[in-house]
Amino acid sequence: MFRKITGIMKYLKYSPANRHSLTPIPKDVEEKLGLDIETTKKRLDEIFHHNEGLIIRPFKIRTFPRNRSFICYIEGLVDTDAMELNVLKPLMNQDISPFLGIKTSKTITSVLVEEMITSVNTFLVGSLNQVVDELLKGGTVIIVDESPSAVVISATHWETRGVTEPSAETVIRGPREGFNEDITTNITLIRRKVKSPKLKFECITRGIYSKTNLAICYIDGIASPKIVEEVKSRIEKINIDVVLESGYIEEFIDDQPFSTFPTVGTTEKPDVVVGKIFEGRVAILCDGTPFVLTVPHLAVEHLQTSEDYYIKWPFATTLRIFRLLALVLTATLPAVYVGVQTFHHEIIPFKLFLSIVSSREPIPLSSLTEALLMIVIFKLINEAGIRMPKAVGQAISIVGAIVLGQGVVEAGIASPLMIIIVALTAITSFVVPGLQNSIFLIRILLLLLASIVGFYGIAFGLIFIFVYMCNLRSFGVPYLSPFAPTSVEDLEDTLIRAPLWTLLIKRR
Amino acid sequence: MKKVFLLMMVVLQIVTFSGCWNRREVNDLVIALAFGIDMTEDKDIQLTVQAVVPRKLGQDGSEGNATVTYTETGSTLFEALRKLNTVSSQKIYIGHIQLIVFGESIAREGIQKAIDFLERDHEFRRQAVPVVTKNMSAKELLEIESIYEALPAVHIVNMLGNNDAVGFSRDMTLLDVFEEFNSTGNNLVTGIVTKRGPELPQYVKGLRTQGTAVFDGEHLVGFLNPYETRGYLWVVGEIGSGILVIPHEGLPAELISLEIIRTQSKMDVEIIDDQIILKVDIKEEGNIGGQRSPHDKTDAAEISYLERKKEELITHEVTEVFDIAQNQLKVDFFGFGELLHKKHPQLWKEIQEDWNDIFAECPVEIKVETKIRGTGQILSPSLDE
Repeated sequence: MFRKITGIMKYLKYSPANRHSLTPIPKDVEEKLGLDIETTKKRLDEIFHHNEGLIIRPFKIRTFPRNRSFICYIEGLVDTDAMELNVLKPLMNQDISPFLGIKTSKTITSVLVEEMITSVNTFLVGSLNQVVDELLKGGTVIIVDESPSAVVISATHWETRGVTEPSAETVIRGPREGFNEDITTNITLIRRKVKSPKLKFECITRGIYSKTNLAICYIDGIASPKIVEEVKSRIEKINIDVVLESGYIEEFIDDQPFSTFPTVGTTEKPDVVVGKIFEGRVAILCDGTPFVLTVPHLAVEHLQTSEDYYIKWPFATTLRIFRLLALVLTATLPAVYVGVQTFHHEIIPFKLFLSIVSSREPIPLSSLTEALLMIVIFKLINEAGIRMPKAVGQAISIVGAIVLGQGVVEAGIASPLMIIIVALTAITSFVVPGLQNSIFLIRILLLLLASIVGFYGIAFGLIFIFVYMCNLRSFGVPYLSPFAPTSVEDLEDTLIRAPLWTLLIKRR
Repeated sequence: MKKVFLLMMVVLQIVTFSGCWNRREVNDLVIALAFGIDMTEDKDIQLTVQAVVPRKLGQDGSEGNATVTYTETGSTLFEALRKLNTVSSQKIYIGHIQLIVFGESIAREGIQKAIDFLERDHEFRRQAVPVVTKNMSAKELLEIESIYEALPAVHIVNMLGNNDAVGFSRDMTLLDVFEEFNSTGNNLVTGIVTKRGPELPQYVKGLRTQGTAVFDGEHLVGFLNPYETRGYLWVVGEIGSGILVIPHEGLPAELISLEIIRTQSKMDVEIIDDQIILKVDIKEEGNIGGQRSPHDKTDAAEISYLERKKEELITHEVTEVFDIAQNQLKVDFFGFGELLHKKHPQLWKEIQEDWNDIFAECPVEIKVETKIRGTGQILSPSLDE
């Protein structure tokens, strides 16, 4: 039965019929540039039909007054100041014909590139397809009559967000810079931290229409070549129209597409990425998003933060133990509470038991209903808080805290203890943000099991989850390593953060 | 298909391996605090349960105690308990029981009738405190209110526990009762509760918890007064603390109180020339806690005098209790029989039946060693003559 369902899902994932197909641009047919400038212009007009923004400006090159030419670019992508200064000015003002021999074998365009245009990134392309591609990427193209090639000057200029502190990954100690939406900036941010030719970026373009730039980043000699190859081959198999965010890539390269545990890590901070690639991981940058993927991604990484390495190691170790505690609490606390309430009254100390009894005395709901109700209410407040405009945020917190928190207790729907339990669960879930969504599902599962068979159910559920986690792999690496399978020398950076001088660079 | 089968097997285990399914919300329970077991004149068992009224617990300034007592009779304890469910508003929950009161009537008749159910039931709390009433019934005891505590049973439990500081009662749990009740060659000794005056008091403060009850097998045979109880505790080594009061040398009215800090005791049986000799070896350390006399007691001679006096006092207390055990009650409630059973199992088998009579004839060797470790924060009294 399950095989059937997974089979259907797999079919849906890879089926070409599932992709809504626009008429794709014929890639294979290469269109030569026509010698006649009018034909080329007409052809460009055709391709960019109903697409305001293509600017075509005819002008005369002073050196070659007999050849008509035009410069074209797409509005908004190009640094027009640089074009005026470095391209149009020299071409229209200078006459270098006296310096050229009368009989020169060079074509006009190569003369332009080699002797007149002062822009750095200037090259020649031979086909119309390439011209279109370069225009769309933000290049400026000069087409000269009777010339088989076109000059491309790549000097792009568009608005990007500054390098700001990411709001989801704030630190007290450590670099505040975060990635932005521009892949060039992001690559620069990483390069500035690692001044070594061993730092590799391999660029791949994915997305039939979006042609999104991706960069696979790793340290040569530290990252296992097998994993790098695996990442490359998985990314190359992606067949999709548009890539808007690295989440698209994540879903395609995930080892277990049906798993609730993330097997691909994300981060917004360059120092985290550099730390990870020096541990032998591979990072995948995606144009258009500040979120960078890192693989392989293991469970233990949720206990680690970049700050652990910037503060003294005993404190970092303490914090990691607290994070583990938070992880355990957030997953099991409501389940334990409900289990105790409905099955195991004996294990509560007598006085605590009395206060639980007196606080639950007026509640008409069963403790499972009570717990589910409060968890759902919290989840809704949380979700509303994220989606709401910032100005209304205060209203949400008032409604959440006073109306629901206090009101629910006063109305006798939930006991104050349950509010504490749910609040504690919510707070601890923010300690391990990466696992929030998987933990939410585990919490509900354990809660249901606990309400049916008590602690026995919790134990059962936890065993089930651990067995499942032991089976997970992230790019061939067991998800629970270095705990299972246990590798003693790797344990130094798990629950304890050993002093930096003892931490060796890991080669996975 | 194999995987689905496995998964179904696993899920089935949740249901089939979970044992008895006993799902109850806390607010669907009547939480029993104390059991009081009496025997009626028709030889039926009368069960009194003191239960919590949660509604009254959290309220400030609420009048009276947050408890209610239900009483029901039945031919057995279990029957009486089940019948109680028809009186109480919800099912009675015994997992958090604090106090087990054996009425004097059932203790004299034999507590086996009551203890069997307590031992057998899986839910019953073994940490509950057992107590025997003297000159009153368990029902009367559980109907007495407390001023300080919202739950009178808790007040009684605390009173019994506080005897640890004076050594006048036994600090034990129901589990200890089970162990002592089941062991061969030993007899049960439990704490008691009695009235302070002739009238039944209205509040718990009108009760006394000093002294112990002595059983022969399942029957209550006698009571020990507070000092005899301490004598017993010296022998079995259960003295937590206490105050020993000793007269000043030559001045019997000027008393000195010595606090017991540490005690250690060793019981032994030896057979010399076919004669069983009971041996008790007691070691005690203490401080000077306070004195009435205005004389300095801190030089070596005085200290050793006090130590000697203390020895005499302890020996006296222990001799007294042995006198009761051997001559009055003729019951070995110290557990010498158990020691003999361990050391000489063959002999024990022969004399097991008549042990109490043999015990009564055995000579006793009492050895006491005491020390004074400190004198508190001062040496000589402020007004030193």
